[in-house]
Amino acid sequence: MPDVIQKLYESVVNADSDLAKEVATEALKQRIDPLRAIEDGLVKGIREVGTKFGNCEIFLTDLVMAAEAFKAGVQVLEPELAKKKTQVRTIGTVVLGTVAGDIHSIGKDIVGVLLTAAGFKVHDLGVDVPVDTFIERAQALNADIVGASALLSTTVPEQWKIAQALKDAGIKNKVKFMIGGQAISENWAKEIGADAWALSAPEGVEKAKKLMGI
Amino acid sequence: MAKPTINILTDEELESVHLTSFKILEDVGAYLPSKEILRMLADNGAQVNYTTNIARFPRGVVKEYISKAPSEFTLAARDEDYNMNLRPGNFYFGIGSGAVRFRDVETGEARTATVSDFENLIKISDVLSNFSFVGEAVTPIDVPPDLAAQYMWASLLKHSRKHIHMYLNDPLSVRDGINMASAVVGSEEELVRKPIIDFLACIGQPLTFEKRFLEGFVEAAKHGIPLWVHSGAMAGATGPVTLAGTLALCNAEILGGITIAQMTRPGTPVIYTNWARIFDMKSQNVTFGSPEFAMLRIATGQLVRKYYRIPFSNAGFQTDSKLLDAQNGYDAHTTLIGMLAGSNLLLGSTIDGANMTDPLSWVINNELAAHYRQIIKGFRVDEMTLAFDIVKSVGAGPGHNFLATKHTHDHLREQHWLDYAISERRPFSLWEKDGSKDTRQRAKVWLQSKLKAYKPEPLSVDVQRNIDQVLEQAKSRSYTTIS
Repeated sequence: MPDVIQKLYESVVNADSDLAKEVATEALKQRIDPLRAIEDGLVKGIREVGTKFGNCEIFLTDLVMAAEAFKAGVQVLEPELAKKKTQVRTIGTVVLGTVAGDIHSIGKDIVGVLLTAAGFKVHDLGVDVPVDTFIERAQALNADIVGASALLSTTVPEQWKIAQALKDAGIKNKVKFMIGGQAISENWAKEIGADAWALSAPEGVEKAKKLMGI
Repeated sequence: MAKPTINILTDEELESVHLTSFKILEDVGAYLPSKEILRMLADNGAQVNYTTNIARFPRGVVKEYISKAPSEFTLAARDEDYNMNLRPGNFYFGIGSGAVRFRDVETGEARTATVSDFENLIKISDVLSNFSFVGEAVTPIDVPPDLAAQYMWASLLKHSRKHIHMYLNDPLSVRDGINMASAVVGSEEELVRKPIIDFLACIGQPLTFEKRFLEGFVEAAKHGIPLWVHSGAMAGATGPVTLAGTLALCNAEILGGITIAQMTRPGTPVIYTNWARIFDMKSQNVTFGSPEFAMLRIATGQLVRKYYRIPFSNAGFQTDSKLLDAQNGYDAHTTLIGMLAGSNLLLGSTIDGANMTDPLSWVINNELAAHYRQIIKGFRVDEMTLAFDIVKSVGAGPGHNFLATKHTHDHLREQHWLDYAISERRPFSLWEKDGSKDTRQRAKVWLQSKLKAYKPEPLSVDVQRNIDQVLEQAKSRSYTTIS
């Protein structure tokens, strides 16, 4: 594997964002195929890190920093991809957020990182996200899955509102709806018509994969 | 008699934490997204930015306002025997809020709860005499989630004799809680004099007061309802990975919250509730059983005893275990540590990292509460207790003992704590003859006998109706009424 691609892989495995940016820039200079650079370098690296994390060889903060390096490298290479009108193969596109009125983020952040490591393209809308924003972003980004997290019982109804809004926008069949957060239950997921629910991040990733038919 | 205490930081280290918290409030500030509340803070000396919603608090202003927080006060209960007089040396235990599952006493199954299950749990809590307050023990799923709190409060006020511990969500539900409690004591003025409720106010991290929470916080303070000002930053995730850093951050958030409460209504009773802890990067979960959790309880106590001198709370029987097992038992050490640190209120009695609650664990914790109180009580050293005359009269030599002395008979009950009912201390053969019961089985037998003898004292029909009226009005605001 060319030196640059190997270095991209290593920058992710070693969770080095600065190196990832540097080497990605070098890859552009050397006119290396950006798709190859991402898939054989960065993606290979994040998959490796995801596996190590799954085996408890590394801890969460290591995974998060590796994902940051991955994103840093991708950010540099993506514009070139767009020029060539090619796209990185992903399992699917996920729009994630914590619902309006709720500012808890850690669980959602972990899910986002694990989804990225598993091969999804993740757009994290942050916390306290209004229903309209979930819908608008899902449409604009051609999302396959909308994931909404709620930790407080009082904010859980927002998940019901999102389910309604997906229906009203006519995209309920196109976009799968997944819910998470400590306040949810199987009962609740069924009641609001969510396509999937999960009470832990790894479970969330498994269910997201299932939603994509994997 | 010196009271046992516990320290982990030097005076210098304590001062560094305390000063860093002031620096955080001064230089970083807090996120408070309400123009009206920012204006109120600015009028009282804070430096506010209406665009970023950040308020910075000069340390002189913080010092001035936190000094207005009362150093002692009473949390009342419908049954005055459960009143909690919060002052140094007094310890009270209670059941916290937020679990989404409970362990069924009969079947042992971990399951979700209905309102009927919740009311059974209140009954169980009512027979545990060492618990003084009860919160939202497990959230019922057979009611709309945005009304679950009001349903729980109505049940608690109707069926519990103890002080009711409510979770602060937003201003409208705060008003619901106040209205329900006022119906019980007679009026809102009486409620301020005799606060049978309080609100647990969990500040977001970092230094973030979400809009509805902030408005609810100020609403509760306006009405003089006691507030537990809580910060539970998790080192590595919502606070710096370093323990001192997260301690200082939590301290800053709490001092900021207390300042806001006192600016709203000087003299608002507040309880310093510092849950500084780590985020476990191996299990990717909150943890209550880590050594870091215990260390931070010690440091918290030192901070409050040295600088703030108001009632404070620490974790009371919170375990990561999912069962009533050895891990559940050994995690209880943090409660004793919190008490040694001086914590007046020991909150929780939860399992599975506060996601679950187990009534049989409550039974064990109820006994441990008395056991730990006894340790803190200490023992007297004086002429009577040194018992020199008794030793002399019994004398040296084989066959002599103290069993039959009047001194033993007269002072046994004040010297030895024998109120335990669950701990198994008998010789092996007797335990075996009695069925070789484990802790859980013994707790269940004890609880069943207590429940058999239990006589509830319901509120009058009129008061119950008034409480229900508040609940009905709350229903009209539920998302379920949106078509």
